[in-house]
Amino acid sequence: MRELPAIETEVVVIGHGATGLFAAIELASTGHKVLLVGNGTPSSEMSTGCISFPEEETWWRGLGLDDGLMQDASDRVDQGIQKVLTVGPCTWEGTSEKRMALVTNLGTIIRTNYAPSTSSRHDVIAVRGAKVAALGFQGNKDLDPCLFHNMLRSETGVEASSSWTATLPAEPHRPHIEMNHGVRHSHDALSEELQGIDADLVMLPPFTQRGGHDRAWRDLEGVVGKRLCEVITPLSLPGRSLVDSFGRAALEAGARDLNGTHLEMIDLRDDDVIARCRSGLRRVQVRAAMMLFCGGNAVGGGLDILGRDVIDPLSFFDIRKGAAGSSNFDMASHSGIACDSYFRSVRKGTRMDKVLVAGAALPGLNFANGYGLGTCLTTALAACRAIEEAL
Amino acid sequence: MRIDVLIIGGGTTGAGIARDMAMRGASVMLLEKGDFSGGASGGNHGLLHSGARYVVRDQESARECAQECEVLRNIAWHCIEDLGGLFIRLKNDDGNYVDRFEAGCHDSSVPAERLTRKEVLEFEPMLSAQVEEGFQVRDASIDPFQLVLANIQSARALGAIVHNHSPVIEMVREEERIVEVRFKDRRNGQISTIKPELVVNAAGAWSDEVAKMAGCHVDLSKDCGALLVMSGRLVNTLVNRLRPPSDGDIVVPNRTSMVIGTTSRSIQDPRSAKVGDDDVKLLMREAVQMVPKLAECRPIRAYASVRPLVRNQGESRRASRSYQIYEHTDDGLDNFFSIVGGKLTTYRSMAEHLSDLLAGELGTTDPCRTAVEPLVERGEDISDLGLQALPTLQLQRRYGQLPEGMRERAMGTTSARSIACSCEQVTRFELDHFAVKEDVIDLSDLMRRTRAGMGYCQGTGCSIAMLSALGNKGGSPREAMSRFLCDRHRGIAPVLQGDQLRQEMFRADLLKGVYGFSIGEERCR
Amino acid sequence: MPGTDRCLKCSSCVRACPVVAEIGEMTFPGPRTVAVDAPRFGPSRVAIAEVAWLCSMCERCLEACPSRIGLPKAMLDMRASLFPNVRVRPGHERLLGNIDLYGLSIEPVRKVGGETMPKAKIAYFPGCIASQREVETMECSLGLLKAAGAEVEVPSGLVCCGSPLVKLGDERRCERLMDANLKILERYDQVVTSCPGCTVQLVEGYGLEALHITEFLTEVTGTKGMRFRPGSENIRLAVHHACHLSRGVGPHTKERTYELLSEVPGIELVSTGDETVCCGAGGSLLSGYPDVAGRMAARKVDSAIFCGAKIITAACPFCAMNLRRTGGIEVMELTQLISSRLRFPGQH
Repeated sequence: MRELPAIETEVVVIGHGATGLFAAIELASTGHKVLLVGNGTPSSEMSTGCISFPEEETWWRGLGLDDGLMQDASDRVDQGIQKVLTVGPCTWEGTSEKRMALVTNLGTIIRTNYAPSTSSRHDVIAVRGAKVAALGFQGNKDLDPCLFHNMLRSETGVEASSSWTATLPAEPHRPHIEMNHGVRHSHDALSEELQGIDADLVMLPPFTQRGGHDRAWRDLEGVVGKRLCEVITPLSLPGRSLVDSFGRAALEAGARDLNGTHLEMIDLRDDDVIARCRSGLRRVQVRAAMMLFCGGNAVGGGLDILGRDVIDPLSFFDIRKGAAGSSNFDMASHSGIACDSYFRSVRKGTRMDKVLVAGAALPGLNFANGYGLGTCLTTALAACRAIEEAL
Repeated sequence: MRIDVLIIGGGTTGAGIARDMAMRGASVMLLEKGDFSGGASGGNHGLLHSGARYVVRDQESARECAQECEVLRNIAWHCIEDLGGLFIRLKNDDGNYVDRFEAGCHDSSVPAERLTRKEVLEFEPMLSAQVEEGFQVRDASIDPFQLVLANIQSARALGAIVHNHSPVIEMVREEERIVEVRFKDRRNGQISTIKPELVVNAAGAWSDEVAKMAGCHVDLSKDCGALLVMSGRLVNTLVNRLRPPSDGDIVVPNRTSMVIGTTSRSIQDPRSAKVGDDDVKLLMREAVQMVPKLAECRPIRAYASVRPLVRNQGESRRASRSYQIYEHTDDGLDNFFSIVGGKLTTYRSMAEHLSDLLAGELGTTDPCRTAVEPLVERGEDISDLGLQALPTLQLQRRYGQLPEGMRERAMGTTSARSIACSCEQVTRFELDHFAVKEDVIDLSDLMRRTRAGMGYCQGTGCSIAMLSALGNKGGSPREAMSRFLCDRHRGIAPVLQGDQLRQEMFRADLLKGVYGFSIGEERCR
Repeated sequence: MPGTDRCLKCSSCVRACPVVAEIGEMTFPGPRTVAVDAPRFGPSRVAIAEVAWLCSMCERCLEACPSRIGLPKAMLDMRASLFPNVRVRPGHERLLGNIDLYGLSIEPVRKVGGETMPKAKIAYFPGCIASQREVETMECSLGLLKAAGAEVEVPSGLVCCGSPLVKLGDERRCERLMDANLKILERYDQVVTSCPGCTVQLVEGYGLEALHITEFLTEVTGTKGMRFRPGSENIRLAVHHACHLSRGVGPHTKERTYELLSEVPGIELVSTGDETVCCGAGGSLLSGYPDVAGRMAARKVDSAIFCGAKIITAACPFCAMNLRRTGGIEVMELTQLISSRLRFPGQH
């Protein structure tokens, strides 16, 4: 395989999910030269983009981090997020003080600190007071209005009217509204349908493409004269918008992105660290003073700090024991790879001081009660602080 | 309301008797305490025996299987995948058994063709290189859920009254007769009383309890067998080990998975059937000897069920799989019959045997027609539904012919024709169709009828579609979901490792985090 | 199996698939069903043949899969296992006919290549499209290579690289072609191609040292030898990153494309947001389902027009050809675009 000349940088960040990008923003904006190496879809991109911070102390301890750091970590993340989330195609709302309630595509309620603004404007109180309707798109599984109606009624007592529309044709992902640099496609048919619905608030599945997300919804709201709420749905848009926002902010801060390259090997040497990566048919080397490793996606499996594929990163947890009574199952799903073994193995190794690990297992998915994205961001910050000290 | 025959138990035997008697013109009622095929009928490999497995030890069973498997190929064509079977001898297996096997096949008229090592491996390249020789037999895989449902469907069409989720709570005996039977409908808690002419106890592993209710006794040995489901198909033939029947010596490719069976352990209470860690290890260890690549396969789940066996001397594995009919005359009863034992493959002939007896009691002279009339007619064209070829094929394989009313649902909306469960290629209209039926009260019922949720992801996405189809049934949607997840989790827990662990983490977090459902691990403890 | 057991049913691949986005799950069930679900059905998996050739092999699903399953490879395995027993699409039949008759995937209209014995160390491999349809691409590529100072020649007797056959699942025919090409190409130290599909096939299938022209011009020769005319006016340009280049050859080629474009005066890049989305040409989709490929191309062209671009460029003659079918915007293959701004000796 053909080898391309080595790329020099100060810090190489492995993984371009929420953790890696957030760390890249922090480091690049304090003047460090950062290169991002990432491969495929990070699990945070599959998330609903809601960021929650933990309230229990046990959680911090599970990560093996000291209390002092954790005290102000959430504040710093708070500032960091506000800096980042205004950049992207979609704005986020919320603070770490106030937890807001969101409605999922089933009508269940989840609580979070930050959420994409389109869906975050409608908390339970708004839902309780308003005349609610749910509109599902035929052929699209993101929002099933009948189930939404049943669930919402059984969870909150709110009666929502529900209907299906065939307005969006049998192609679930072809949006009628598509924002591309301010150019709006026709959405007459859908807005007509929405106008005909007798409700103050209409729940819709997400249907905008990447980019222009927030504006597209606001525009449509303006046209139909109703509040529209994008229901929270898994593996859908908000997580992507979040990662997009982070990505843009990272590039703006001056980080370089080699997205699409796959880390194969890490060489730890006396004065530097070399990441050997694969870019399609070719090999690229990145030489850096420090490495921040954020490739720990427990669902997909990640890479360990030697760059080996970890097919089953959670194997060190005895899940069965967890199911039988101990808290291992929760531990595994909440704090994941960043906790325990990884941090410890990194700290123990004498030559490992050039590699730091941050992130969370399943960050994208356990946002509601697992603080997945919150874990990502706080561990990223902790790692950035350590890197700055070392440099 | 006059009831000629009341059948207790909705497994293969009960459903078979219901159909048989209904065909002979009797007025039939069947009561099942849970859902159909909830016991051993649904908890086996889905192996249609050619009889070869029994040729050395139990030639009577072998002969019976050899006949019945051909009958079922004809009448239950839609739920059988006619893959054929192999019996393979591995290097260290006893060579003498081969000759006894061959002789046994000959004596019991079980067709078997001897294959050389090379021929075996050409047939199934994934088999172990340790194969020495083998036999090709007429085994097939069968979907036991659909088999029972088709029998019920057919019985209902002939006027039989069939209730699931309706346990019998009391039998009133007057002298030599059961005069009244009371049952409770779990859907509404209503208790009804019926006065049947004849009562049949076909409650499988629970038949001793039912007999006790009638004040009599059934001698039953209960044998718990664990099975392991592996994802995908490495072999497309049923693979048996050519040695005296033992643990973990069968691999059955069925639908989208392979089932490794079984273990054998005697137990007292059928409710306590469960898979242990040792069972999983044992099954894997044994099966890997035949198909080494199984070690790299992803286990989906494990389950255990209780075989009701006729009690005779010796341990369970050697107990005869043949059945026994009790007329309970010794217990002083005239109109109560129990049928225990038997196997899936011979369910029909068992039903015929008992039905002949019942018909005699009722004075009916109509002969049994279950061996010649197919459960489902052939030849319906469903290509006009506009589905893709793969789901169309699966639809045909599940039902043979679309159940009444399903076509209309399919033609309804585009959404109805979308795929709700991609593991098993189940369409949304199937869910909608069954969800409104009285038989279906929760997600597991829906799963047994459509197979949605039986794939390797164990309901990661399709559980939502099922919940939506179910509507207001089963109380609060959250409760219904929790019950289902708990039920699935019980099967997944013994195999939580590797990919299935990742899957479960993903499923737990998806459902917990995004939908607010708990996967139910707390409940399952 | 390329790790298909790792699937978690997360649907990321289905959502990422550009063909699903265009024609819907009801028509094409997506990479998961074809590559992961269908093989589990044993003998009845053959039913998937109906839709197995609807994938454009853009590898977006590979990028999207959090379990990193080799979906495109699994899809190709599926096609290869089905191929001997299915009736192929009419377009594919024509393609196979052309391979049997001419050794090319399309009907030839001209003879290509001069020398039989090499004089140069570097061979230019034009591929079927650039040698027979998008001929300007071949001429411009040769011109650019010369301007950059590379001694390159086009060997005669070259046949199709076999990439379309790999995509179809026809392994037998593919091997014949590879034998023929290898006899010629192994005499050279280096092969340069215009079509990224050829690059991938020459590297992975043949094991040759082959580079795509964007790589060669930036990594080997550099662009110092090229002289450009000053641009009279700025052209608003949208870039289409060919899938087999940006994902097949490697993401670094995106950087290389921009490096090359930054040399050319008078270009204003327009960001469309869908630069790496498939145009629908690949994976035998264009030959088998020209209507689907056309709709996918039209969507890209639409988006470029909306963003105010006047020209779309792609570093792949096959993509360029497919995008051009749509009309409505000027499409220039990358080397063509660069050459149009090149100042040749004697020019002012």
